[in-house]
Amino acid sequence: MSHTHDPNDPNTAFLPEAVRRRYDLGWIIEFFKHKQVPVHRHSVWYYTGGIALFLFIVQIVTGVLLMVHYNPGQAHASVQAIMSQVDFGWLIRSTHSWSANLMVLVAFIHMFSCFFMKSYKYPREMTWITGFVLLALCMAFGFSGYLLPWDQLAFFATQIGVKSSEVMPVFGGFMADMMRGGKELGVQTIERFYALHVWVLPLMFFGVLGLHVFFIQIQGLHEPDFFEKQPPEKKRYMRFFPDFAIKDVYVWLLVMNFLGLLAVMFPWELGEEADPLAPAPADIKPEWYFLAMFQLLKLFPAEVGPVTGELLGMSLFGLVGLLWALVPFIDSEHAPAWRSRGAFYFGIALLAGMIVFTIWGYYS
Amino acid sequence: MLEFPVWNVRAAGGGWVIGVIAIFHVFVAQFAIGSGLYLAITETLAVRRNDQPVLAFLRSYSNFIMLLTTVFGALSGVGIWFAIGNVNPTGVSALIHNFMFFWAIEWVVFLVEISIAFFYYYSWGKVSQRFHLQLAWLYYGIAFLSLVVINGILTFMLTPGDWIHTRNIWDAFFNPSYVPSVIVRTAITCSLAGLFSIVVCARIKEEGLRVRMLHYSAKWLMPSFFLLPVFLYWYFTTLPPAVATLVQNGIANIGAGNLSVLTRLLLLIMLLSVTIYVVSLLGPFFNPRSFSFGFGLAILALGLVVTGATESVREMLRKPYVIYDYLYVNGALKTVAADSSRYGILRQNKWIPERSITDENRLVVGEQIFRVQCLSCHTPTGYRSMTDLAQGWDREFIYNRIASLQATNLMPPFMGDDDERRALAEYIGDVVGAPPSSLTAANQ
Repeated sequence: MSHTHDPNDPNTAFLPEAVRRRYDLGWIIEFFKHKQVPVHRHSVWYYTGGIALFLFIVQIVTGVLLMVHYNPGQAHASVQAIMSQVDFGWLIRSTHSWSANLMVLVAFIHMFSCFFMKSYKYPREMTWITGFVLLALCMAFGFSGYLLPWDQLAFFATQIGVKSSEVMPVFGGFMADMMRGGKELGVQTIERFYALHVWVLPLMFFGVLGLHVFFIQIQGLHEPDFFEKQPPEKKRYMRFFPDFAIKDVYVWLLVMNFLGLLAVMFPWELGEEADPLAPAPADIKPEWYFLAMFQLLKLFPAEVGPVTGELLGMSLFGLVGLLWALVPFIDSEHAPAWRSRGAFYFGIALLAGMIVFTIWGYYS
Repeated sequence: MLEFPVWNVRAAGGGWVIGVIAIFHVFVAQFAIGSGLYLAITETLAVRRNDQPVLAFLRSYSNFIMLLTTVFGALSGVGIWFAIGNVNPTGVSALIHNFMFFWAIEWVVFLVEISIAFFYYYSWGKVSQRFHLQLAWLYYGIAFLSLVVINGILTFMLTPGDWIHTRNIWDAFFNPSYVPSVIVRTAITCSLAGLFSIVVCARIKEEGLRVRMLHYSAKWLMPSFFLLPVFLYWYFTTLPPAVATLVQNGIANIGAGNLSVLTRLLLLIMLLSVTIYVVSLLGPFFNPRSFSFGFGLAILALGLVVTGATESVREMLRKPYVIYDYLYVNGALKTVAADSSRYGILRQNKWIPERSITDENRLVVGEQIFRVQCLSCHTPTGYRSMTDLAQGWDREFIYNRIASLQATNLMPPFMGDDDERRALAEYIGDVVGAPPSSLTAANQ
């Protein structure tokens, strides 16, 4: 950067002199000063990414607090103690669970809003792909965290979830055994899921999240077609700092209140301790964000030709996921109009399918 | 006592009907008072500085205030009367008989308040500036008087104080929590004036004026943010010892797994109030330029939730009384209830057609008894339902439990004789699907 360190840079006037003399921070302020947010009728969707980020921060803070009292060796008893003996434990756990679910929901909304504004297009392909990975990691967080309280529902739902990975050819069985730490779910499974949940996934998440945010910062926010085509004098922008940043803060505060309302009025429940020998409760269902897939799998016949219906279903999910992740390259910069339209209908179909199958799964 | 018919609101229960109407009414009514002070002070300042844009804004703002308070405020006020009169006629009767003269004053005050509000709005630019200012202050004076009067009646219900022994109306009106409550509510009226004004000012088209008015309106929230905790503490020191303990336990147990509704509501009130103040400080106060209408609406909605939660806490503290230490929620006077088992519901209540209990009519009478004794707080299968609260209980347990309701400290004694208690137990047993007892078996 052709830039000299100026301790008297007016941008950093608000900092103490001791800091200004030592560190060259003016360019950061300068950078944020010039960053702009397009103002148009769909600007409201720009908040969804920030909300997901905020909820992730809530997850870290409440997650660390829960780690202080959670014990994977006595999973259920320690969660019970968190709920009834630890000061504010019930609030922290409820907030963690609600926030996790909201985070997945908001991440989905964020993804679809970016999809329909076609934010994934050149030059933001990598932002899209990192975002896709983040969503997958979110769901992995949800899957691994769900088991940790070790109650009946968590046990049986996880059992089904892990089993479904067994259908994959070649390494499916190996993966399932790795997750379970053996052939059956037990304390060793909790320990593995715990390590995954509090170490492996967060490290991966931080890395990918860093890239995702970095890309957005250096490329700026995407301007939808209808906005970009307007004559320059008609385009309205808002300064990212402080105008958009302060609005982000309001939104975060409001989300925090909504979260508080949920945690306080509808505290998260803890079922009875898991008993592997007990019969599985009737209608075991996975978390809502897996429901659509779960319901769709039920529709496949047991055998389709030489392969099982489950394998066929899982392969279909894999294919759709791959298409979805690669959509910036299919609907690329110079793609013909029919591909762009096709991508749009693909998005509509996927969204509608997810909503319908989730609701169907919930009520069936 | 039990001489009134009952209003069956099915699943929601009568409490919710009162609650929903009352929360919106209190929200708007307190704004009506606060906005009076806002108009008076702002107009005074604007006149002094000859600030024409602000005066023009106040003119249109007073239109909104007039419409909201006279139309919605007045309608919902009548709505409260309708709802409480139907849900708890005995309580309303006691309040009317005690405070006849004060209610009369209150209604005259309302009438004058509404008349001045109309006069204030329609006389913009038609009377001298000085006279118009006087009208503004007169409106606030009268509006504040309405708070001064109703506050005596509202606080009486929770802290009747010496009235219990003296039966002196002035003891009832100037009861122990009267003064702190007036001050707390006055602070709230100012906050609400600020909150509503932020929303309205966010829609001003001219940027300079919008920025100025947003910043100014946000100031209206600031004093009460710091003073309200002090005033509330003062208010709590005047509560009856048993109630004070309840609040203290609620607060002390916020941490340790105690999920009583009271505790959770208190926590929510704190969280939401702090957010309202932080957002109004960060937004309209420090960064009015970028503050938008949507965010204004959002904090106004938080204000509504806080109002609802605070009023619910206040109502909840009174349990199991309508008038503390005097009249129970089931319409029984404390003095009469002292000997509750000799009290006959069928004998006393002319709205139950059955005059005696037989094997054939036991369930029907049980339901009638449920209506007169339980329905003001509970429903069979909806809100605070039997299916929720008495799930898994057998009929014998229900029968015994009804006799010891008072031990919960939250419920009044059952006002009925042994046969009536048995009939009620059979009815509730049926509702929750308890196995038949010897009585029902014999009947079937």
